[in-house]
Amino acid sequence: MSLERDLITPELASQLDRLDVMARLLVEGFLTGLHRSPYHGFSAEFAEYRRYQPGEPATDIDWRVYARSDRVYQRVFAEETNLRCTLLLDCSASMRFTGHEGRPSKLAYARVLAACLAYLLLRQNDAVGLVAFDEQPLLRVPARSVRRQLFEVLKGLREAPDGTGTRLGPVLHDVAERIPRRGLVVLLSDLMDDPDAVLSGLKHFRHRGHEVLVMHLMDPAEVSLDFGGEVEFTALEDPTARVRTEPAHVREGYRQRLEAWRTQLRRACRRHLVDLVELSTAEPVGTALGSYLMKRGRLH
Amino acid sequence: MPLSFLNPGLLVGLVAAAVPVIIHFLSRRRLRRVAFSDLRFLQEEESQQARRRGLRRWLLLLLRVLIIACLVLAAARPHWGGLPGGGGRAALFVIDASASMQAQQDDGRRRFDAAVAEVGAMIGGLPADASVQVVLAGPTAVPLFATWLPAGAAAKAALSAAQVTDGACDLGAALRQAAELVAEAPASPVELVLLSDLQAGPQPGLADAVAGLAATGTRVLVRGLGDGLPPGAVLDVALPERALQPGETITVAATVRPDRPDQAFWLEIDGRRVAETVAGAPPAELGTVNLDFTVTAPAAGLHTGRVGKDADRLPVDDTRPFVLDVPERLAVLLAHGEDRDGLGRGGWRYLERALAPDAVTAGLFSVRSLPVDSLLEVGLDAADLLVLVDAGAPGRRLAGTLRPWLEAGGALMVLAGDPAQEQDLRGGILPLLDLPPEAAWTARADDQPERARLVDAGHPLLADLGPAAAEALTAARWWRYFAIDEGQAQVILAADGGAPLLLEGRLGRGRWLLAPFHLRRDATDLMLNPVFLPLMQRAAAGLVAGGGRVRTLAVGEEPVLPVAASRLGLQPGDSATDLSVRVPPDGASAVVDLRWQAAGPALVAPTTGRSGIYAFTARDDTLGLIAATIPAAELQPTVETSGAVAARLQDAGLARVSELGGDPATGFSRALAGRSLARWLLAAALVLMALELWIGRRVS
Repeated sequence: MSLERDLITPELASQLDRLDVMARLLVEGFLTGLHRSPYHGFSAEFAEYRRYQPGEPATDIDWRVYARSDRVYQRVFAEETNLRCTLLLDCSASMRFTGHEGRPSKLAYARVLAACLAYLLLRQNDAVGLVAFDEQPLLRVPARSVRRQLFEVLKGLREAPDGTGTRLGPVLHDVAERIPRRGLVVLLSDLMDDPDAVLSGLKHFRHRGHEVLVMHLMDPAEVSLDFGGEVEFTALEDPTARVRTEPAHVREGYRQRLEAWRTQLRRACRRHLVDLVELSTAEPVGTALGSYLMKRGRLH
Repeated sequence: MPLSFLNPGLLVGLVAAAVPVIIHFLSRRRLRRVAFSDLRFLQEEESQQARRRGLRRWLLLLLRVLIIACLVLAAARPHWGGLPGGGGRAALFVIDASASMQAQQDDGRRRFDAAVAEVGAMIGGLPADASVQVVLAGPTAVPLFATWLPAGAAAKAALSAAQVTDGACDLGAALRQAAELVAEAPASPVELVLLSDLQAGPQPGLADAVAGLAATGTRVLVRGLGDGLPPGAVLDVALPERALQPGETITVAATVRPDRPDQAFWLEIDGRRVAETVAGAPPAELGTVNLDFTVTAPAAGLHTGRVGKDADRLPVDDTRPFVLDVPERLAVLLAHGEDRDGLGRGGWRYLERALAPDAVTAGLFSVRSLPVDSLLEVGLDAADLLVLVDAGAPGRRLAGTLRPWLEAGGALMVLAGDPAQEQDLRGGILPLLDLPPEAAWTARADDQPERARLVDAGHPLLADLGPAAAEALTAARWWRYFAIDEGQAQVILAADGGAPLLLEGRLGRGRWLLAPFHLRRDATDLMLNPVFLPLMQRAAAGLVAGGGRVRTLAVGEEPVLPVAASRLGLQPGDSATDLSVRVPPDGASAVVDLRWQAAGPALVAPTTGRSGIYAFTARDDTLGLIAATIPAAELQPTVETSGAVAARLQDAGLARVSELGGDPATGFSRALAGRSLARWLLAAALVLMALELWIGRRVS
């Protein structure tokens, strides 16, 4: 559990406790918002007690426990699962880039972010799965909502190998075919691939009825290209590819090209009802996650 | 080098110009390597900008180097032209002292005086530590100061000794003299200022002189004076080329250049105007006109004369002096071979009678006949004309005397027609006269004589004879003569077959006449011809034209007058204690230098550089006259521009030549100081900085 401690600090966990997960679409007839389930209070099998969280409906509070222990618990039933989420973690070499020594790489950032999401979802008894990939799937953790699932997901995050290249299109198609039930697909990637191939894969998810959330991770140095002097850039995914230049001279053009690429991604995602959140690794994970969840909350 | 620096030590700072280059390459070495996520956009942008940015980067580097270089150079205080300060300065003024510099300017001053005044002003503008020297460039180049003088009042005062000449300006000699003075100058390099009216004309030896000056690094400033020269002038005076007889009518020819139509020209002899004529309109602008003055030859003696016109702005070329020798009698030595009959060897008696037909009334010629063997005893000093008739080859001693005497101005007539002396002719006479040693004896049958034809009818010997005399001459017959090769000599009369019968030539200053026949009846009947007497007298008079007592030379040439030692009673080694000479322009008396030459003694007068008459006297006797005239080069009215002269000097090899226009004192001061380039360099640095910022901003 050291990784869990490393990735999810108490400050972060407390921050997450104050947030609600607002899913836009429920999978297989579950309602959206506030995790209200039509199966609650019926033939659902009791699973465990859980500490009551402010904001949750008071109908499931076990008042007897409260009377004995003076603590507020609610009963959780096995059928309380209302969201099936698959985290897609891009482990390609480009994700290992960091523009500053004190700053986490995009991959590290994505791992923490994925852990946060898993923790958040599992705390709400949502099923969480994980697929790590580079040019092909590297590791799979099937989606479950059991308590041990958090450990499995975190283990998967820790053990996911460092990948090499990126082939987002085929990978997304492959994963889309393997997820049996509709749910939420969260892609954590820098999307360093052909935009058309990426969009093709995302459309596949949409086609199969999944809600798709893309967390586009960028290091600030990738955006600003604020390197000084003369620099020889080497591609992380292809060490033989090199560009020797003075960033000061190409910065403006680079930014324009990058912004055009990002605009293209934004428009394509909007057109296909794919949520795209652009995240900077310079931002705290909690801030990034919170801003996303607030955004989702505003949508519903 | 026209570029000099007041603070040359600061030029070391130019090393700083390498700093941008070093930084540039050091920054290239500090290459940073970054593993980047994706190179797509970088590659696209880099490929698009690499070439343009590369050019801009090198341009920036160049600009930065230039900026530093400009700043360092500006700090070193560069000056274009001028003389470097600190080590003293030296200025050498070369003043054209030729005749044309006597032309009057609009302000009434002569150009030479104006040039001297300008030099004084320029000397006044020099710093106190400067040194000056002045060269007067006349026929010879003469330093005005004994040594380099400090610029100041003393030098300006010493300028008053500058005198103009009536000679030409030998620019080559002036520059050679300048090169010698520059070598002795107390400071270097030297600023040389040439002040001249820039009269056009050949300048022989200029290239060599310039080469010597160029090696010293001297800068030359050319200062042009005046705006041309007045065209009017008397260019030449030609006297009859023969000995004159008192009272005879002679024609004096003059070549003049009138400056207006119908301009009157006059001729005076011994200060008395004796003839005047009017020159019509010149055939073309600045054209020359030939005038003839018909005058009566004055009494026997030496006479001076002038041809002139009214004075214009340049009076010195408006009159031209000449000297006229009207001999009382010409001493003729007639040397002949051993007589065989009453006619004399070679018929010399015919010739004696022709030259002195009436010994009682004493004509022009005083003839003394003698065997050639006695010639050495008599000597040639007192002879105006030597006639050799079948005299054979001159012996070694006679030949050793004869040739120098002839070259020094003697006159020789040779008649050689004895077939027995053919070898003498080939081996003695012809080599003496520098003729090819070719002689072929020609003998015609009695009934097949040969006639003569006039080869040069315009020759002075034949010109005035008239058609009847010419016809009579062609009626003369020849049976025997030597056919010789005329070589470079001038043929006056030739046989029908082409062989020359009368040849004329010059040897040094002397003249000779050769007749390859003698006066025997079996050889010719010329001596029986009525034209024989005037022909021989004309020939003899023509040979002794000038009489050896008069000379005409150009100003600048050394006034040398050969004299007969016997006439002065001089012996080799004697000095000229009783001799004196009156020299132009004012007839002041000067000391004569007696110079012994191979041909005998010669009197040498000091050169004054002025036109006029040199009169050599021994006590009260006038020994001879020399007319010093304006050189032909000074009679050219055309002038050049200072730019053209500067270009010519540059073509000859001087690297640093420029014009000195405007106010000479101010211009000279500026020339000395040169033009400061510091502010221009600072301005250039500012412009380059602005450019660097602009380009740098575009690059960044």
